[in-house]
Amino acid sequence: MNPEAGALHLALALDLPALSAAQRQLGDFLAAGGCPPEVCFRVELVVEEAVMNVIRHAEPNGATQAALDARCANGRALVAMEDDGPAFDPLQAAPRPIAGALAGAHDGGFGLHLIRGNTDAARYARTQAGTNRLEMEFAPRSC
Amino acid sequence: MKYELQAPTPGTCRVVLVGRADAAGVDLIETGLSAELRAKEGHVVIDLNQVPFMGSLGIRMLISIARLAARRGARIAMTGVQPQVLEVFETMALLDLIPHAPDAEAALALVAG
Repeated sequence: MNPEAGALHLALALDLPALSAAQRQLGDFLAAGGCPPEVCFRVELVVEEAVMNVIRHAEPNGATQAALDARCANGRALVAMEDDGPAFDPLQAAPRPIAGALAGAHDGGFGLHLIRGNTDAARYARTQAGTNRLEMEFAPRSC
Repeated sequence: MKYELQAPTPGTCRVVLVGRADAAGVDLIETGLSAELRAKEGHVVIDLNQVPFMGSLGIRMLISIARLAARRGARIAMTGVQPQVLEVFETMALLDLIPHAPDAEAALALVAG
């Protein structure tokens, strides 16, 4: 991932304080670039879920680092996340209705529901460099 | 992030959450809040008036609280959800799990049945 003008590049440690700081930086960057608050909000929400997926699968022999790249244009946000963990496609988990979560002992499928419901496009690829890459687009939604 | 437990009526516990419910914020309060809620009885009202952001860990925490209430046969409702947070909850169908009331009084009426 190459930093460029008008783009934000963040390398983050896989812990919660680093994630929270990255969320705030992303939100501030996108707001300054003209993304509406609801786009910034959805980006912060989905990035939290994506990074938490990496943190949950980080031990043992999992990811040691992650990076986020963000750009914005015409109110749209483009965000890519890469991590050096084993191949994992968060878009392939089976979604489950949230109403079943009360009875369930786990939250399987919740993350996919969250990512799909709050992005306008999402793509996963395993790169030739051996990293997971998740690209996400967020478009303004009319109120 | 902080929380406070109040007893607005006998048999009802109001959980007032304050601050950004992002990963680090939720991590600060979740264990303590769950432990305190397990020791309480009665219905639960979650007050989100002072929560400007809620991430995926925050949503999972709300689901855990709803599970806790369901296990003891109690009702649960939310109030004071800010517009952007509410939009996400609607997208997630979270309101099917935890109904939202427009104000504190309506939330109390909702859990009172």
